[in-house]
Amino acid sequence: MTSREQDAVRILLLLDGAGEPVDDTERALPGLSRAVCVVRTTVRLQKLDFWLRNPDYLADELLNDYETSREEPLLTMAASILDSEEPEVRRYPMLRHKFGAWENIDNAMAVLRGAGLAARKRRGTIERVRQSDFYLLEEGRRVARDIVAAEPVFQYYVERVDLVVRLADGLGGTQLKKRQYLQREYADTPLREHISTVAPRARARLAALQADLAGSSEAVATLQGEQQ
Amino acid sequence: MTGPTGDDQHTPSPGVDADSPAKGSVQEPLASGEALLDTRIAARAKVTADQVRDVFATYGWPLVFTPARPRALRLVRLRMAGVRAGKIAPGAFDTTLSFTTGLTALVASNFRGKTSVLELITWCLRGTPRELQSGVRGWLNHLDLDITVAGQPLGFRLDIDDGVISSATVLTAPVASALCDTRVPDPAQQVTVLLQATSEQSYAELVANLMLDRLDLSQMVNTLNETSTQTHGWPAYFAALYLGSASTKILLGDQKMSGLPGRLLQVFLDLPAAAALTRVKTAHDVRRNEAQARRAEREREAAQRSEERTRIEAELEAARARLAELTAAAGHHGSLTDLAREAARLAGQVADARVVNDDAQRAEQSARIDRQRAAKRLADVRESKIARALFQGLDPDACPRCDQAITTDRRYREHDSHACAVCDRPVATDDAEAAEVIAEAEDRLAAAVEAERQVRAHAESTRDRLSTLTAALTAADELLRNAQAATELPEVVQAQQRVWRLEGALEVLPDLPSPGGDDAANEAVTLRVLDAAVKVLEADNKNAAVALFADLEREVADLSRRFGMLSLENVRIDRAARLQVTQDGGGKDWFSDCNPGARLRLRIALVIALLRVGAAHGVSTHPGLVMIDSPKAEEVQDLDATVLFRELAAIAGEQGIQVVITTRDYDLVHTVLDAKHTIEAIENEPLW
Repeated sequence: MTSREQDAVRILLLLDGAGEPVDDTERALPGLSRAVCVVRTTVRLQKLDFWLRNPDYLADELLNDYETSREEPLLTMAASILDSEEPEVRRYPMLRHKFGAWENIDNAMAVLRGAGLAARKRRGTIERVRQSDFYLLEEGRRVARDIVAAEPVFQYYVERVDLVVRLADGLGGTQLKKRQYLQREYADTPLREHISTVAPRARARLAALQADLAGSSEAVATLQGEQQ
Repeated sequence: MTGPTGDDQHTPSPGVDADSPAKGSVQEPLASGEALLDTRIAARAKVTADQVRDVFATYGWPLVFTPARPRALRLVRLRMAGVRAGKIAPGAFDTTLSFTTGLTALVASNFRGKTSVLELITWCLRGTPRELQSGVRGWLNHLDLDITVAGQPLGFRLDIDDGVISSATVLTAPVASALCDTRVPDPAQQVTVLLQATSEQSYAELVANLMLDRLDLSQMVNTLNETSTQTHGWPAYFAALYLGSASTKILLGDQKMSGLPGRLLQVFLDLPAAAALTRVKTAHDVRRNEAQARRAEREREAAQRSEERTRIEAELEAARARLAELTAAAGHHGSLTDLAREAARLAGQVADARVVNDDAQRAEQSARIDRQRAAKRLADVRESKIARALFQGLDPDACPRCDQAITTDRRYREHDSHACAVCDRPVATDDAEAAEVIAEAEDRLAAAVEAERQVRAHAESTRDRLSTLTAALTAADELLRNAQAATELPEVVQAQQRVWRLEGALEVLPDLPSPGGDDAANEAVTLRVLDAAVKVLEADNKNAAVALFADLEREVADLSRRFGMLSLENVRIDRAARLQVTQDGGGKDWFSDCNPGARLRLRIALVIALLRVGAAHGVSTHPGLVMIDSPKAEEVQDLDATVLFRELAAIAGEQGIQVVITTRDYDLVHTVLDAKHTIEAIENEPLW
């Protein structure tokens, strides 16, 4: 179980890496005058955080993408995760919630808001919050860059956020959630229990795919033909 | 060995009267020779005297050669009764002829029964006539012959029916006169039956045995076809009594084969061991030939067996080579059993190594997980500490709950009195606890790394061992599979079976029993004894013969000259009865090359010479009865015949022997002989 401050740092780096630029209209809103970027919707933030915390699911998702696109860099990235001990050492299991992977990020956001590093804006009616947007403030970006420079242990998150964002590029949170549900372990996990690892299966898939790739180009072409 | 104990064992006297008792004593040299015979043979054979005696006892031979009894055989009376058929004096007849010692002539015209008399005597004495005309046989009903043998009277009584003996009796009595008028036993006259026969054949056998016994003669045995024997009995001896016709070329007896003339000569010179030598020599020859045959057979079998063994061994070698070639071609050299054992051993080792390796791999995994946990924990606490320090170092900005700015005084309060700017509760600033947690996490990680390193090293070694063993097992299994496949190839199976079959054949091929053991040793001793006995007896014979033959040659020469061979220089006779004469001027002729007249003279001379030499040396010899048929043959000159008759009469008288001769020359007989010595028929009338 990660500490509140740990989660806060991770979310800080995630906001810094995954946020979209903020325009002046938004900066005109109360409390957002110093906002620099935003991650929209809780679901997106939570799901990005899920990949950040579960490298085995991330690698598995990279293999899925590779099977579709046959872009070898995806395979290489998946291999770099699965061949390392990341899935074991860098995995911070999350509880499963009704809408997918979910960790109450309010505590982490409270830490960031208390220190004036990030802000949260709810949109919708009083009765029903339709979505929340998470803003990184100027002070937050400065602290994020400072801590990465001062403490190299956090560099890992910076790089991983980059990868996660690229994977999720252009995709809405709902689609991300669906994709995550494709993972059997995730779907079978009872509500409010830790989502189990898919590392063994992902490693087996990687080996099979690498073996295929090592085969003749003709074989690869055939494989592609079948998949199409 | 006892000395002579009775009259039966005396030696013949130089005299001619068979009834006269033995005089003088010439047994001593013989007795001493006999006494030494077994020890002499033993010395020669290099065995003990007991062994020699055993061999002789086995054959039933005496080691003591008793001196021969007197053999004098004399005709006393011949009676012929029956009915004559034909043109000449047909009708019933009953004629008795009496004989005396000296030369007796049977005188009659041709074909008037002269020769028949000799033949009838022969019938009685020999058991069968020699060449009796069948017509004459048919005339006879009774044929009686009285003789004396070594002084004992014997009476032969033959009943003849249609020319064949229907019954025959041999009688004996203390005196010859007692037999004169009887044909049946007569207790009053002490006339008793010696033998009785009911057929020609049984009569011949019985008479032969009787005569051999009474004359102390042995059957003459010689080897035949190397491993069997042939026996010459009484008829062979009888041929030395009834001389053959002038034309025969045999010196003595009527058979040239088997060295019989020489045998007869030796018997009638009574060489002390002549008969024994013959028996021993015959036994020795048979035995030696049998031994040689056995040895040859053994050698043949051994050669055959050896050849068979060699052949099987060669075949086995070839089969083994073939099998080796096939199995080598199949790619393995060891035995299937060895390969299977090796594979099983490796399989066992692999199983053991797998268990060990599984444990090691589990331990390694467990250690890795431990180490990963420790690493994660360390990263966790570090991140956590840094993050906590980060946020503690930041000034509170807004309330996380209401988003309103933290007031300055609250900010100061937190700084000065460590009260939370938001909730006003005390804020812990001491970070010492966090540092301890990190240190502990670092220690744990270090320990976990070290533990993992050790476990991994072990796991790597067990993995290597398992993989090495697995490779070895795979190779061994492959080898075994190939070998098994190879052994199941038909030609390999066939070759293997052939090797087994030949090994079996060699196994059961028995070695020949080596000739040895008691039997072989006994046989060797027996052969040595026989060999030595032959040599000893031969030496004895030879020594004795030297003196006797010298005398014999001189006597034959003297007598022959008296019989008319005036130009005869000398005579040589060897122990094989080969006789050679030297005429005046040095011409030498063998007996068979002499003219018939000379041969007849020499034959008669030889018989008389035997009697004279025997008498002079005190050894028994020829029975002293000589029957000669018609010496007045066309080859014999009249003048010579006269000389021959005269001298023969004189000598027969001198020697007391009995010579019966037939002739048709009345003048000759009347000139030479008196009436007592003449049995004469009226001219052209039958003699009987």
